Amino acid sequence: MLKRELVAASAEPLILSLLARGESYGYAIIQDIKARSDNQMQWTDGMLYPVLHRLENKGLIKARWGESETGRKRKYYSLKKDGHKALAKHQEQWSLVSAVLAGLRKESYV
Amino acid sequence: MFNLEQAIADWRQKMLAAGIENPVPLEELELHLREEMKSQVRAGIEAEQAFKVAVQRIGEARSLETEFNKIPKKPFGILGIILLGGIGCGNIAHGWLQLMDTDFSFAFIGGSFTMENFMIGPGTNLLMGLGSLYVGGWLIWKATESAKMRTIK
Repeated sequence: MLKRELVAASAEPLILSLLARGESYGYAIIQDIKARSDNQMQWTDGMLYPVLHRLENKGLIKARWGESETGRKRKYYSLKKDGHKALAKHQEQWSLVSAVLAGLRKESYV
Repeated sequence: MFNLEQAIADWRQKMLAAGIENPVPLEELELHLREEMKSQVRAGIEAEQAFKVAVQRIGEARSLETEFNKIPKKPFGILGIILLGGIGCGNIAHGWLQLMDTDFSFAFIGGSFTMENFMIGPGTNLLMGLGSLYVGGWLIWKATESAKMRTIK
């Protein structure tokens, strides 16, 4: 199970990455992250919404009310142009962290 | 007998009491709760238990409200209030100066939008001014109420 702090830090880039694949809504985003992480990333479901609203306020994503297949209303989120830019920046930073860690791990085996 | 709608209404009350604002965040959380519950029931869990699990997964109202409170408010709200206040005071000043039969050039000090090339009467100016101040005041009242709701915990 991933540490809470790491889950929190990765929330924004993960949401942006998922939305870069296409429009989605809260419940589906949570399920997608759980499935992709093999349930190793456990979020308190409700905590997703403040993150989504913050991203919306920052102008990185936009929202619209739509309908589900069963006719129930649903709020869909999608990435904006600035969201794509922010995602690219996140990817760059996370790649750097990953590269540094990989480098250090390699050194410790030499 | 478990009554889902009643259980959801009680849950909404708890959320409102903790300061989760209606309608948008609360509406979204309720939709999530219903979807999670449906998925639990589909997996063979009994409705009452499924509801409890879904509520637990959504999280505690206070923790959620704390997170929602961290979202920076859009500066437009404050700018809007300042703008409305400016228009309101400007219109009232303009209307008053018109009533006093003063030179109109002074009226622009108040920042009124009414210009000589589309001049309107003092009554309209005063009404527009009061209207702007009323809307501005209402916005401030709404913001204060919402801040109060967040403090009462």
